[in-house]
Amino acid sequence: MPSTNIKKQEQPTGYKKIRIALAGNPNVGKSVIFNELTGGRAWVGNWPGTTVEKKVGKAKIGKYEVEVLDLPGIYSLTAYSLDELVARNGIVEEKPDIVIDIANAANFERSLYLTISLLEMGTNIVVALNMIDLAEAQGYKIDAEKLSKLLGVSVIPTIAIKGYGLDKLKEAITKTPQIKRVPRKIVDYGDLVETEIQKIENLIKKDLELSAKYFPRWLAIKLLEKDKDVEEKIKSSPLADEILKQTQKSREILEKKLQKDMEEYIAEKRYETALEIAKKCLKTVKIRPTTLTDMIDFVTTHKVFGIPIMLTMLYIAFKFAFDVAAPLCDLINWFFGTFLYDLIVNSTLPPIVKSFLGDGIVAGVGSILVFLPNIVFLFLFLAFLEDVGYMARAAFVVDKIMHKLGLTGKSIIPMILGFGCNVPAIMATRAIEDENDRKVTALVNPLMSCSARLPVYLIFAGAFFAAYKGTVVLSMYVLGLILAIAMALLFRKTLFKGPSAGFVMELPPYMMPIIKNMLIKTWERSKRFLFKAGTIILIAAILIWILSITGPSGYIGIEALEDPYLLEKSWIGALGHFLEKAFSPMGWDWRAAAALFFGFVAKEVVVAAMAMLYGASGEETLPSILTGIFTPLTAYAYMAFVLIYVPCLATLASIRSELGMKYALFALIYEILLAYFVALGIVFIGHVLGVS
Amino acid sequence: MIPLAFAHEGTQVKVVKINAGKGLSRRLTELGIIPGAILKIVKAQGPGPVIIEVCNSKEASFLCNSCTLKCNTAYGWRIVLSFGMAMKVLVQELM
Repeated sequence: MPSTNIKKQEQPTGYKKIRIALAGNPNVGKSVIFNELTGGRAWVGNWPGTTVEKKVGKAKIGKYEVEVLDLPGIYSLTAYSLDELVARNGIVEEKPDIVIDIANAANFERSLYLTISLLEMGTNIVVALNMIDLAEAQGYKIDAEKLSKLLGVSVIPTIAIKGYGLDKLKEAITKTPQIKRVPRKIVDYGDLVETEIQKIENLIKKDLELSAKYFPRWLAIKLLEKDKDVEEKIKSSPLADEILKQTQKSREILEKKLQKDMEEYIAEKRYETALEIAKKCLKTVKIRPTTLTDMIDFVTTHKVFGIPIMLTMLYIAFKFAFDVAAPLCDLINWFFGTFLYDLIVNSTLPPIVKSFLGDGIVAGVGSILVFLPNIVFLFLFLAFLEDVGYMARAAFVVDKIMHKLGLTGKSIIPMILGFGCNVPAIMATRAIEDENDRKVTALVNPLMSCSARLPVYLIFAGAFFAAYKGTVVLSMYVLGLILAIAMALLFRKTLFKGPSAGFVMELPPYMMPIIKNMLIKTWERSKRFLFKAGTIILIAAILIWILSITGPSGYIGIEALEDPYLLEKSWIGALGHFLEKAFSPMGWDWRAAAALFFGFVAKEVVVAAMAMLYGASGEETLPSILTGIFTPLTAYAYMAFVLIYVPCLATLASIRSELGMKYALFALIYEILLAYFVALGIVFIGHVLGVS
Repeated sequence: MIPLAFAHEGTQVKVVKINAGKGLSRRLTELGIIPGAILKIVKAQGPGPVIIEVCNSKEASFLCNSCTLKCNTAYGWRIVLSFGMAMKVLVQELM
C-alpha cells in the first residue's frame, strides 16, 4: 500500500496531533473503549444543528496526541436516522485520520455490514473485533488475520471490558496514520449495476473539488440509493444537473431490468458480501450451548412472571433512590437551608443583597438541589439495569400493553425515568424510532410524578389524611399514570394518527456491568439535570424574588418576603388575586393560587411558597394552618392540581429542545386545562357524594 | 402466511414479505430479517411482541450447516420486534 505523509503539524512538545473517531453498533462496547482510551474524561456538546450528543475526549498514544470522537451507535451509514446521519457526517465532513470500527465478534455478520459501509465510503479504518470471548462461548472462532487480509485493514481482537487487546489496538492506531488508504471496491454489485455506477462515477470525477472531498464511487452508490443527504451534497456541484439526470436514468434502467427497488437491492448485496466474508473467517461453529442468558431470559421474559419481575425491579429502584439517598438529601437541605442561609443572613452585606442571595438564589436553587441525591441514585440503579441488559427485556414485557395504549415498549424507559426527573426522561425519548411514538411519549411524560412533587403530597397528606397517608400519596402516582395513559390514547387518536411503527431492538446477552461505565452514565444524566435545571431555575428564582418585592405600586421592599400583608400588594399577590377567581369553584384562596405560580419553577417550591404566604413559623406550622383553610376535599383537589398543572420550567425547556417550541406550548396549555378539569371534577364528585 | 406477531413460540418461520416503510425495512435488512430469512421464535406471548433469532437465509445457509437441529444457530444474539413491527413482517410457518 502506498504510504504518503498527510500533512501533520509538528507540535513543540514532540507530539503529533491526530484525530480518531469510534464507530460501531449499539451495545458493542464502544463507550468502554472510549473510556479506556481517554480515561473517561470527555466533554459533551451537541452536533451542529441537532440534539444528538457529541462526545470528545483526549488521549496520548505513543507519539500522538489523539483527539477521540465518539460517534453515535449505528448499524449502517444511511441517512435514515439522525444518529446515522450524524455519524456519517462526522466521518465524511470532519475527516478523522482514523476511524476505529468496533465490531462485535459475537454478532459478527451484522457488524461486518457497518465495516463494509465504512470501507465503501473510503474511510481509513482499524477494526477492533470486540467480545471475542462471547463469540467463543457461543461456539465459534473468528480468524482475525484472514479477516484483515480480506478487508485490507488491521483487525485487532479485543475484550474491552477486560482490557484485553487494547495495547495492540493503540499500537495499530500509531501505525495507521502514515498509511493513506486507497479506497477500493469492496462490494461487487454485479455487472449491470457496476456499469451504471461507473457512468455516474465518471461524471462525478469531472468535478475535481467534489471528488477530492468525497470518494466518487461512494457518492455514485448513494445516489442510486436515493440518499437525500448525498443528493444535497451533489447540488452544490456545477455538474449537478448532469449527474442527477444520469442517476435517474441509471436507476430506471436497473429497476426495470432487475425488477427490484435499488435501495433494497444495494442493501441486500452489501449484506450478502458481509455474509460471504463472515463465512470465510469463521473457524469452528459448534451448536450453541444453553447459556446463562437463555436461562435468565426464560424467567425475565416469561408470560406470567415477566411483569411482576419488572415491577419488583422498579420497587427496588425506588427504595434505593429514596431510602438510601435520604440522609444525603437531608445534608444538602441543611447546607442550603441552614448553613448557607445563616451565613448570608449573619453577614455584613446590605439587606437587599442578603435577601437576593438568601431568599432568591439560595432558597430557589437549594430547593432543587435537595433532589439531586434521589435522582443520582435512581439513575445509578437504572444504569445498572441497562448495563446488565435488563432494560431491553422490560421493553419486550410491556410492549403488548403499551401497544394497546398507542405507545411502544420502548416508551417504558422514559416513563420510568420520569419518576425521578422529567428532564432526562424526555431526553431519553430519543431512543424511540417512530416519530409519533416519540412525541406522544415526551408529551405525556410530565404527568409521571417526578420526585419534586412528593413534598407537596407529603405536606397535604400529613395534614388531612394522616391515617391513610401512604395510600393518598400513592393515589397521586396512580392518577398521574392513568392520566398519562389516557392522554397518550387521546393524542394517538387525534393529533398523531396512524398505527405505531414499532421498534426492533437487539437483546444483548446479560453481562456484569462495569462500575466505571455505570458511574459515567449516571453522571452524564444527572449533570443534565443539574446544569440545565440549574441555569433556568436560577433565572426563575431571581424573577420570582423580584416579583415578590415589587408590585403594581412600585418597589415594596424585601420585608414583603416576611410579611404576608405586604406580599399581598406585590405582583405575586396581584397575580394570586387574579387567579383566585378562576379557582373559586375549588375553594382555594389567593395564597394557594399564588403558590401555584411559584410551582412553575419547580413543584416542590409550592411548599416553601405556601409557608411564606401563610406566614408559617415555629409554633404555627404549615400543616396546622392548612387544616384551617382547606377541607380534605379541596386539599385533595389541590394535590391533584399540583401533580398535573404545568411541567416545570426545566421540563418545558427540554420539551422545547427535543420537539420544538410549538409542542412546549402545547404541553403547557393542555396540562393547565387538564389540571383544572381534574381538580374541578374531584370537588364536584366530592360534593355529589356528600364529602367535604 | 401470517404476521410474525401471531407465530408460536418454539417454531420456525420463513420471512415472506415485509410491509414496513423504506427506513424500517432497511433497519430490518441490517439485522438480517429479509425475505427468505429463517427465524426461530424464541419468545411469543400470543399475538404480541416477539423475540427471535435469525437463523439463516438462502444466501447464508452456512450459518446452520453444522447445526444438528434445524435451527440452533451459532448467532445467539436475539432481536425483539415490537407488536407493531411484528405485524408488518409476514411469515410462513415451517414444519
